Amino acid sequence: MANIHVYGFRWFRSLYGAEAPTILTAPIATAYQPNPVFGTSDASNCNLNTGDPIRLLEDGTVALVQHGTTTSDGSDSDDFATGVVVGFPRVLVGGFPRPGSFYTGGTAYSGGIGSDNAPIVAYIPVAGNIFEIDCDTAHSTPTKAGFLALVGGTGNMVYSLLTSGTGQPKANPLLDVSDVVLNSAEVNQLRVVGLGKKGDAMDFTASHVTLQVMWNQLMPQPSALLAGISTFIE
Amino acid sequence: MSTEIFTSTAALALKETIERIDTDTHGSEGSKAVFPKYLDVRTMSDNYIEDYEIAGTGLAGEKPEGESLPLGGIVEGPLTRYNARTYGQRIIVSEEAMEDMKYDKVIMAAKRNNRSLWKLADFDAVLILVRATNSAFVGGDGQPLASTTHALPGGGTYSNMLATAMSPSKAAMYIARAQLRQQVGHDGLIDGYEMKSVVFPVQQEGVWDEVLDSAKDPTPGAFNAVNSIHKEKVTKCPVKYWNNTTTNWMLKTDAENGLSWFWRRKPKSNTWVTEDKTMMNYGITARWARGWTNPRCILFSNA
Repeated sequence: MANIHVYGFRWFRSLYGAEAPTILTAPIATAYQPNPVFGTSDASNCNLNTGDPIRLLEDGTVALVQHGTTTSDGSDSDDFATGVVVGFPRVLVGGFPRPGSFYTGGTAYSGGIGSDNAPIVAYIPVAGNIFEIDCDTAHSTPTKAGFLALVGGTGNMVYSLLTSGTGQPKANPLLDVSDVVLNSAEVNQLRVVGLGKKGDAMDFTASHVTLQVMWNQLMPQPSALLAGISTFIE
Repeated sequence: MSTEIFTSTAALALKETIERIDTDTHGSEGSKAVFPKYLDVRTMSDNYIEDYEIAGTGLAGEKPEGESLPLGGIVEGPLTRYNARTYGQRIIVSEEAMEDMKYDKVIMAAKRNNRSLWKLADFDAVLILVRATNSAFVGGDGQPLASTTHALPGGGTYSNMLATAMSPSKAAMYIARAQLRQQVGHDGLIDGYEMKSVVFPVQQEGVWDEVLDSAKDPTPGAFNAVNSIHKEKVTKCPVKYWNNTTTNWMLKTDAENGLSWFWRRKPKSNTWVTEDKTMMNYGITARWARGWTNPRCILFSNA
């Protein structure tokens, strides 16, 4: 049986016992166009949706985290995450602000990020929080034990653009399950920490098995910078 | 999917412009559950409970005149343990969303929680059927629910599977009935069990109607013959959650201590507020254990 795909990163719990996650907000720059590869504008352009990972830029705004591109040393700051979107307290709909469930890519507004027109994104910081995310494909060891054996490993996020449903086109972040490695020197975006809450009700032979992950490449970096990723704030 | 419900989560519900809210039906979830139709539902009062199999004493023997009576003894079988596990869910809703959402059917956190938990109960229960022949999920005797080598306490084995898997049919039921009536008891002697219900994926519902409900032979060209299965009054239990197969089915028998569901605590809801964030929490939890003790409770067709 197919697993029911649930979109994006879902907050699961705090490492520190908070019963509700901390929510932070940040504006989105005028005409910002999310894309799975930061700085690119092509057919993969998408909107920003609840469940998408974002990172802080150095201008007070946020951008969609790009899928993991640098697996060897984690030196690409565009792969790092600050938070996961949980809502949009303000977006422009029909030219006027109101709460919305997604941000339409490329929305231009006047007045700058300090104005009452600037779209606002609410997000949960990835630091100290466990999230659930679906795997992109079936696993090569398609059993519960096979998935449990991934715990402790690291892997990258991959996007699989969704062109249907409210908020489309949607980036649709997934865990690249074939990319998860153990005992490796690679610096990857995510670390697997457990099996999803659906547990045994999942079909481990199919795609979209849910795993619990923590962000491994995260900013602000909570610890001393390592050589090789010292350029993560460009 | 948002893990917390804010005003932005369902922003179109902030104004009264919507005619109808299209969402899943909620309410009376417990009465819609399927698992009580194929599991015997009981309660448990401890963290775990155990069933203990004892077999004996086999056949009595002839006593020649003046000699001692032959002895009978008992032997223990496996212990089957049911561990209560806790399941639950909570929904977090901002105070602003509670105040501003214009439609009850948008959030209805308590009802959605209730549906989620009862659905999980059905999904959890059906794993018994889904994994019926999976040797990674075994009962007290170390065998999966359906096995040709269930252990007898005194030695030897017995089967609770059709020797040859068959599609639903009168012929299959004749063979199954005969096998059940020669099924052995705990001491290995033929005991015999009666078929009570047939449990199957919903794709088989039509053919089971024909096989069980017709007083005459449902086979084309033989309509005047008696359908011997009809008199057994076997009830039908279609299980819509059993979706890893369209061909397997099983007969539930009158054997005691069979497929079981134990409530340690039935679903219980509570609400609380995360004060500093002014977020409402709606929680639901339940505790249960499920499994089987006596595999004679079924006869399985692994088609």
